[in-house]
Order: sequence, then C-alpha cells, then structure tokens
Amino acid sequence: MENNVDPTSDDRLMSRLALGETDALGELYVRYERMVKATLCHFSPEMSAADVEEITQEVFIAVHDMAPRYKPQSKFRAWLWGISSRKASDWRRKTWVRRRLLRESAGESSPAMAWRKEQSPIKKVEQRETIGLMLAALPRKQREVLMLHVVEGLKGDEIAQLLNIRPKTVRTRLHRARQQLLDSDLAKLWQQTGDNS
Amino acid sequence: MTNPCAHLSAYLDQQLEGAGHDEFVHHLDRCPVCSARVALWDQMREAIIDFAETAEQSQTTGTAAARAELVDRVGRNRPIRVFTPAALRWAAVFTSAVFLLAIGFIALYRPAPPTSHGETPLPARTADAPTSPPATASSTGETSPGSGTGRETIETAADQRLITRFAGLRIGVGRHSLLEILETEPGANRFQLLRGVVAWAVTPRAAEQTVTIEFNGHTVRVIGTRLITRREDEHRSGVGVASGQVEVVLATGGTEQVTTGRLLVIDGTTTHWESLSATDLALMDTLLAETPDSHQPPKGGKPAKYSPNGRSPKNGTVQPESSPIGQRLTLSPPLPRTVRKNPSTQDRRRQSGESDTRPQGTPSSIEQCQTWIIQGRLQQASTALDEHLAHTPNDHRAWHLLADCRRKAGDWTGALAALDKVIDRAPPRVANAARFEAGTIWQEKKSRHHRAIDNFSAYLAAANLRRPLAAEALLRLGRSQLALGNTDAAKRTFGKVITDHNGTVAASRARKMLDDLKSERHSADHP
Repeated sequence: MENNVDPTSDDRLMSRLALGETDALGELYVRYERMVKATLCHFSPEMSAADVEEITQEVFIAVHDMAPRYKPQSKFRAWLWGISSRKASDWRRKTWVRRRLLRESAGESSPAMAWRKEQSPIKKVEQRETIGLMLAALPRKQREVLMLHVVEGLKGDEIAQLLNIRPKTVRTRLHRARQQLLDSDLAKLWQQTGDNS
Repeated sequence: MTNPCAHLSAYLDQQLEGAGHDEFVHHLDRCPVCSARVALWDQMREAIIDFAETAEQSQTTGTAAARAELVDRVGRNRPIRVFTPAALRWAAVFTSAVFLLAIGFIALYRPAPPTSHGETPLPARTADAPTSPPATASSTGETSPGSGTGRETIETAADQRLITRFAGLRIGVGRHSLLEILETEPGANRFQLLRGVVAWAVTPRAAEQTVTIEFNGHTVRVIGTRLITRREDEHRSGVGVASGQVEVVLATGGTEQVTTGRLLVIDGTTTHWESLSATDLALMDTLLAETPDSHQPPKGGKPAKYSPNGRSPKNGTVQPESSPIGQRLTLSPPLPRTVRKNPSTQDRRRQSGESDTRPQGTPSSIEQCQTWIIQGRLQQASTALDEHLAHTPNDHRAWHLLADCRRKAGDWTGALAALDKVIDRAPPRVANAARFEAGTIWQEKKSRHHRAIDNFSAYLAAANLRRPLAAEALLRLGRSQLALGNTDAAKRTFGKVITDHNGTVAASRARKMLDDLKSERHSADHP
C-alpha cells in the first residue's frame, strides 16, 4: 500500500523523517521555507530578517522532533502553518521587552514591511496594504482561524482538530473575524481603492 | 428558514447543505444586503489569498548553507528531550508544592519559634527553676526580671497581640491590654486583668476537674471551655463563652451561669445578658489562633520547650501538664466593688415601694432552667419557664431563655413570639440583640425576608447602643434584599459592609456576594 503513495508527497517525506532520514527534512525545507517565513512575518511583522531565519530553522527542527508523532490526517501544509504561528507567538512572548524598546528600528528592517514596497502597481499595493492592516487588526486567534480557512482552505472541523479546539469555537472565531473585516472602516477604504483601480 | 439573513455566516462557512443552501441562494437573489456582503467577502477573500501568496513569494529562499545547517543541526546526536517544557513546568509546580508544604510543616511543628510580628511568647515557669521569679514580657518583646513581689505583667501595645500557653491553658492577650500574672503554681494560676481583652482556652481534662477564675471580686468556674474576658473600665466588664460553660459567682453572692454563645455584661451594679457577638467570636479566634510565633503544645506527652522571647532555653522546660484543672486564676483588678443588688438592698427597696427594674425571677430557678437547656432537657425547662413567667411575665431573662429553649426545640414561631416579649420588656441593649436574633430566624428558618429586613433595620437603627453584630446584620440585610429581588439595594448594602467594616469576616463575605452578582450579570450579558 505504501508503494502507491507518492514518494515525494509530504506525508511520505514525514515518514522518512520519522525513520531518521534527515534528507527528507531538506526536501520539506525547500518546499515550505517561503510559506513558513511568510507566516512568521505575518504574525510578527516586526521580526528581523535574522530572527526570521532563526525561527524558520526552529520550526523545521520542531517538525523533525514531532515527525514520529505526525499523523497524516490533515494537510501537512496546514499542520506546518500551525507550528509556524505558534513559534511566532513564542517569539513575540519572549521578546516583548526588546520589541518595546526597539520598536522603531525593528519596524524599519522587517522583511514583512519590505515586500510591500516592492510590489506594483501602486493601487494594488495600496489595496494589499489595506488588507494587511485589516488582518493585523484582528485578534491573533481569529486571524489564525481565518487564514487557515481562507488561505489553506481548511474546513471548520479540520481547523478544530489542528488547533485542538472545539468546532463551535472555530465557527465563532471565523464569524467574528469576518464580521470585523466586513464592518471595519478600512473595508470601505479597501473597496474604494479596488473600485478606483 | 425564518430569518434567512441570519444564515449568511453559515453560507459563507459552507455549512449549509441541501435545501437550506438552495433556499439561501434564492434569498440572495432577493436580498441586496446579503448579496452585497457576499460579494464583498468574495473580493476580500481573494485579496487575503493574494496577500498571503504575495507575502510567501516575496520571501527570499534560504541559501544552501542554511539548508545544510538545518540538516546538520537535526542530524547531530542531539540529546533526547526527556524534560520537555511541559514536564519542566509540572516539575516546577511539584517542587513549589513540596517546598510550600515543607515550610508549612516547619511553621506548624517547630519547637521554639522565634519572636516576630511584635508577638511575644509569654514566659512561663520552668520545672528546674520553680522558685525563680518569672520574667516580664513587655510589648517590645523584651524580658526583664520580675518584681520582688514575684509578679509580672504582660502589656501589649495598640498594634500588638500576644498568645501563650500554660499547662492546659492557652491565653490570647488582645491589643492594648495589660495582664498581671500573680501566681503560676500547679493548680493555682492567678491572673489579674488590668486593661483590655483576654481570650482563654482551657483544655478539658476530666469532668470533675475545673478551672476557677476570680474576676473582679467574682469567681468564675470553668469546665473545659473557651471564653473571653473584657475590662472596659473600672465599672464595666464582661465574660463571654464560646464553648462549654462558666459559672460566675458574683461578689454579692449571686451566681450566674454563662453558657455557650452568651455574654454576661457586668456594668457597675447591674448585670445583663447578651448573645456572644460574631465580633467577639472572631476576636477570640484571632487571639487564640496558633501562629508561628506562638508556643506549641507538647507532643506525645513530652514536656514542651519553653522559649522566652523565642530563644531556646538550655535547661528550661515547661512544667508537665499534670493538673491544669483546678488551678485558680485571678482576673481581679482591685476595682471598687459596686455591689449589684444584694438581698438587703432588694429588701430595702421592696419595703420602700421602689420599682425594681431587675428581672423578678429567682436566680436559682432561672439558672436551673438554663442548665436544663444546656443538658437538652428542653421540655422540663420549657415547663418551668412557663410556670415562672405565669407569675413574673415581665422577666425578660426568662423570655430570652424560653426563646432559646424553643429555638433549640425547632419551634421557630414560639421562639419568635418569645423574642417579641424580650424586645418589649428588656432594656434597649438586650432588646436590640433580640431583634438581631429574631431577624436571623425570620431569614433563615421562615424565609420571611420582609420581616427579617424590618428586624435587621431596627437593630442597625438603634442609636447610642453598642451594636457588636452591625456588620453581620448589614450582611444579612443585604441577603434578604437580594432574596426579594432588590439587587441594587443589596449591592449598596454589601458595599456599605465593605466600606464600614473592612477587614471583618462579614466584609469578605459581602465582597464575595458582590463578585457573584457581577459574574451573574456578566454571564447574563454574555451568554
């Protein structure tokens, strides 16, 4: 049965990793490095480039450590996304004093800020920045659920299983996040920029 | 689908299926609001996906060196993490708990605690130095040799209290009190209360053994009890009993039995009864509470070490608890003996036709009834009291005893009727205490909160009277108001308890009630 599984699939790579084949981790790293970094930047925009690299490594080390316990019952990408968001939260908790002291300088050098300036056209950037601000205004738990639902395409039950919370809680968070996005003042601004473009 | 707009969220979450989904799709065609929101959300969702993808694409990929470093890091023989963060957390919790338990154990059972918090262990006579004069414990915790008369004093400042142990006797000296130790011989410990309040706990040893206290010219016989003595000034003093029974032989020859929960107030030439207030009980508990600084009782029959001012003695031990009962304690400041009412005075008044405000019942019959009530012979006591009241219907003491009797028998209506008689006949102070008792019965036993509120309000409204249960009465008033649904008034009353009686047990209960009310309100607002 195992022969039917794509040898390059994420689950297969995780099985190999669980057996001690560290090369599989390299494959996963190449495949999901950008996604992990984007998630880290998304949850901690003030993270410096060096920190992003370091925390990314920690995420994959965690993947390696958890490989024997990994169960291929949900998307690997979503599972990895959950680990990344938790690592980002850990980083925020550990460095809140330093971030308070160095808030301005951290903001200048963050890669999360940098990519927004590189994009074009202008309207698109504005619209993307607006949606970024709207997402940033959401509470972390709501944002987490929303991103898993919208970006990763997970359903409520899958998110509940992944985050170890009740499905009803997922629906509540999702509902509140959506309400906040739709009813915020930035939504009107975002809509206007979209209409103008 | 009664309100289709309410299912917008379920539709967007793809929770609607079958007919429900089709119905909502039809609704979308008709409802411009829902359709606009769905359209906006679709756009927004696309934008979020675009945002995430762009963020991902904009990330620089790591170098081959970074990948190699990662593989190298995980490929190293890293130690197995036996102690995961969760395990470490639990280990820390466990260690803390063990540490706290150890601290508590040491605090409870250390033999010679040091002096702190301004509390001074009372010096006691040591077995090896029976003739040496005892030391004097002052409020500053210093000791000094006793006077040539062999007497010593224990004086506490306004912010200090003291607790000590003698054989079979624990003494808690309240704030700003002065106690003179006249004699501490086996079986004959004598004290003199010169000022303030002292709580006593006498260890019961045997039914035939008693502790006798001479107090203000009166003699108090104690049978294994906890009592409190108070001297407010040269005329006014009191004896209250928290458990057991005390017999007070007045200087005039009369005898009073102070039973559990009763307070005998000796005010100049008169005496009257009050219920032992919650304040007095709390004070007694506070004074007699074992603290880390208080002297601990001997364990396993071994003589306890005595530590003057917290220092362990080299040779000194407390005398064995051989005969704690039968010792004679004197709590008698040389007060002017204002005779209350001796028979000759009464006879003179009777002959001259003066009215006597004192209850008319013979003390012996009243005391007998009280003893019967203590012994549980309620029917006998009730019959005797009824007979007694048939002749002297204005004897408020008898009515009070009858109320006690009926209350113990569970006859709440009868008890309330008797308390009404007390309220009508007794002096204002006693009548007010009876109002509190009546309010308690109305509240707890009859659930008639209007009547309870009337009684507690009357108790609290009594001016120029000492109201030892004011905090408790306010708390109970608030509870009755709450039971009647008057939440705002209850909140105000609880707030008044907290403001006016801060630091009392009632205040902490009121605070809890307020918290409960707030949490109920919160849960009602946010189901």
